[in-house]
Amino acid sequence: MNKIFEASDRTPEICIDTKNAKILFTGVMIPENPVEHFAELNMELADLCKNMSDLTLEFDLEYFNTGSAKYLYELIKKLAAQVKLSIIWIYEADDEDIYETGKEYEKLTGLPFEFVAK
Amino acid sequence: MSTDNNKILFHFEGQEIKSYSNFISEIDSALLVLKKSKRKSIIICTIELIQNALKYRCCGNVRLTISKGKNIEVNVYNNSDLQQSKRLERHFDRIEKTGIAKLKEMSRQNLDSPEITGQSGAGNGLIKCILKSEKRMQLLINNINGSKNQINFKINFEYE
Repeated sequence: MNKIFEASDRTPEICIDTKNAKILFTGVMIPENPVEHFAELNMELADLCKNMSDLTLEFDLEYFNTGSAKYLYELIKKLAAQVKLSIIWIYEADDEDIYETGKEYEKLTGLPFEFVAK
Repeated sequence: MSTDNNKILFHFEGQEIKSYSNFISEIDSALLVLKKSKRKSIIICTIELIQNALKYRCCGNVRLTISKGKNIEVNVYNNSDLQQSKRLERHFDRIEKTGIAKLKEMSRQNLDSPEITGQSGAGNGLIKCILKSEKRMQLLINNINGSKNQINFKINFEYE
């Protein structure tokens, strides 16, 4: 069963795919207050992780602000402490910013990142 | 419309961004002469600065201009109370004097810190802008009256 948080002007579409143990983030992520914006998502993820041992996060983001960068980093760390986590990091081939941010997260978290150029 | 020898490519004035998708797409279109990675850097910095300006303004409109002269110049203006502008000045002075390698390290530490600054901030917005502009960033503060200052962040990006 999938749960979808629809994209808005400043937040991505977030699709929780329970069958394939995957969460996909697509679009832009520039809310002024990400903690407040993603409170409901955090609750869903807490429930989800109770029944999972493995999870994949897939990110296909075009822009994210520094507040969201911190939120995503905290999310990755929190989930990695609860499940076996892997990350798919999608970026446009000429987008150095998104690629480098992914590399930074990979280095800081020590998690396996798969980088996919589109 | 031109200012001095600069041509204004994009201008915004207001107290909120009604549509970020339009905002980003209009800036991107205005900067099409630049390669994509440069356009992205400018847009990312603009979003950071404008969101900070909208968050911390005390009154009046926030203004943004992106102009083209020898370089691409981004200016963001907001009004601020004296206490907030002093805090900002101290913060900016500290990071402006810091070398690039150390700034990257500070950015990592902020990311990893359990502290959340201000309103869900990481404290990395200005650091990001300084890094993206390769340290071509200035903070100008002008007193408006006894209780208010005008804050102006100015960033220059080289043509690429």
